[in-house]
Amino acid sequence: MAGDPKVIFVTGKGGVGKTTVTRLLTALGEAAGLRCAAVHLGEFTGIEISSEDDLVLDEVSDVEPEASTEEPVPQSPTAQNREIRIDPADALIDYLNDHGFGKLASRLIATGVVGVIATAIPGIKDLLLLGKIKQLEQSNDYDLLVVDAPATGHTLSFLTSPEGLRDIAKVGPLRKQSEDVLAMLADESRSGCVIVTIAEESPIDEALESVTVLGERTRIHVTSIVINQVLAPLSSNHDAPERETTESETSDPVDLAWRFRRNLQERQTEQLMRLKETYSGTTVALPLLPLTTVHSSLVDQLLEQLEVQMDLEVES
Amino acid sequence: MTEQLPSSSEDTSLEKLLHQRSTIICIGPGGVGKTTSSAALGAGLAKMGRSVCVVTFDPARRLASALGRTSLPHEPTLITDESFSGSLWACMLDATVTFDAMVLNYAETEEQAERIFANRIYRNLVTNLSGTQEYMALERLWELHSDPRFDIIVIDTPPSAGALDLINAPRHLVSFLDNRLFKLIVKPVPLYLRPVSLAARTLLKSISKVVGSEVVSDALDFFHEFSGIEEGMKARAQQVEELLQSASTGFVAVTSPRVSALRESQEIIRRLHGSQYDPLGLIVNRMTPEFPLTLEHVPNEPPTSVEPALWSLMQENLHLLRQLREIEIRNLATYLAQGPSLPLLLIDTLATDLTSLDELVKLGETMLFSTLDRANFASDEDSSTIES
Repeated sequence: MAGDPKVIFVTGKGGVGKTTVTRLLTALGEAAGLRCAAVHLGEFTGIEISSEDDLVLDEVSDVEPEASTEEPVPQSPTAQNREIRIDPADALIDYLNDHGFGKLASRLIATGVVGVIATAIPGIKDLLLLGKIKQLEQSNDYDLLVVDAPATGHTLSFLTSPEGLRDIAKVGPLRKQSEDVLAMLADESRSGCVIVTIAEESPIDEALESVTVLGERTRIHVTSIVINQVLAPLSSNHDAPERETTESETSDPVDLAWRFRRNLQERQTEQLMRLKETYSGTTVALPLLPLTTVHSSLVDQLLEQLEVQMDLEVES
Repeated sequence: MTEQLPSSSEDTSLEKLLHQRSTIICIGPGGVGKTTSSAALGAGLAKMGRSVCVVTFDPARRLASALGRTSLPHEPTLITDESFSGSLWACMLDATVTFDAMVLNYAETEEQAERIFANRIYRNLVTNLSGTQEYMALERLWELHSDPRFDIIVIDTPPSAGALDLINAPRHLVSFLDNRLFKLIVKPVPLYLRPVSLAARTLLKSISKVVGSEVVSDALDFFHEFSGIEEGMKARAQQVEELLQSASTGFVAVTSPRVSALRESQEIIRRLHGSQYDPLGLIVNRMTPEFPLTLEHVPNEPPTSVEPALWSLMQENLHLLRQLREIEIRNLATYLAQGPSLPLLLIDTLATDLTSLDELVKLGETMLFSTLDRANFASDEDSSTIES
């Protein structure tokens, strides 16, 4: 895994298995002896101000930037933490604390003004989250951070937000923050992006589109495209043999199931070919496994399969 | 669960449930075939002689080509020809176009609209503000609903970003634009309210120190320019809410048997239920088909035309697919038991891509006329369980 970025953003269309791939990558990293964590991102809640009385902010009115007297909020959880949840409101509090606005922070949260500001200044939420990720990256607690990023359309605005904000904010801490985050995103050794998709038409379209758009609008490096839920060939030679059916109107379940499988496999193959024609980077196929409600066992099974597959690739 | 299961004489179908509904809203998580389901329902209804407009978001290229188009425009385009008893129209929602049109509509003067369009923050808001897509979907629904060309509007909803749903998003958007904090700062303040305004201003000043004053003044400019428009939006949100609550609107939930999709769709249904908008039914797409045993089927005897090695592969395949289906059914049973009981329609994964309007109509007819189940999975209990 040497040379791999420290932060991996996992993105893709909804329902293609981003969270599974996030966990899988974390597990792979752990297997390689790295200190890893999966990072999940939260949302701001409550954009309404509960009461106008809240706006009488006596204790805030004299706030001046000052050295924070409070202890810095513990920022990076212990290394045993495999799952980190970053909440934008918490990130904002940390940010304000770090910049000497401790009192303001608590007031903002209490009144719900936080949500309003976050919404009014597009991208600030994303920047806060990215800033927090950068902080974790800079700390020496982790070797690998796998971020369960928002769905593709949102990823783009997520990853471009620092650029947009840097242009809006000419000076000040916000600009500094944007620039720091941009530096992390542009550095291949520090961060990269994995796009998850499935072998169907519109998810593949969307994956290809994100490669283009991420390339044009951000400087983040797309490390690979992961194709999830791929039907494994049943036979050892990869072409499923043709089953000669003389009587085409068969109702035998074995025959029907075989045809169904072949149709699905043909469609998948077609989409995979299309992907490989257009995208020259690394692709990794994950097999479709019977669904279970137990997530960890799914990841374990995938891990097993993936190791087998990687061995094959190394040999060939 | 005290709800009574309907007796067999009350067999129902989506066609019966959707009868006399002029607005059909398909809701559900992303990646479950919601767009295809909306288009199929629309095509099926058009085949029955109705005049239907399907509003989609970002349709798959192949769906557009099944409709005989390479892409769909913002304005409804007629898909069917004279051979059809009804007519099917389709359009793709462009939130930016809708938002701009709405601003033009509600702005007092054209200059006000122009100033808003020129604001740096406006463009960002239109594309990034959560709830915008949902609000615009409903705004578009309102426009089309009063269009005399259509009897029925079928609206596919944007894949919600999770936190906000279709119903509440517009209200959130309006309350954001109508925010008192900004109003207090932007609008002239009566004397008795001055202290409040002063406090708010001081707060803003503090914020400016953190994020930079330009950002704050841009935002203030935006709210200043936008003032007045939110009144129109508020009134419209009210009208749309009434339309959604009326008997002419029907919600159809769409999901897939995957755990993540079920979890998300149950959450959507739960919220709708809480707001008194019960979906009429739940379509579960992407089911692995059932391959039932037939009388002619002899399990362990390969037909003479098939090599034994291939035959065992084929049997292995059947076993795997049955296993998949069983797990899917179990997922459904687990998750659907947690929500309000809904009439259920299971749709198998399509073996081939939809390539023509005829196929879309066929799928739509299957959806409309199949008898719906109540969530009742008793029939699967006798099948053997799988150790995993």
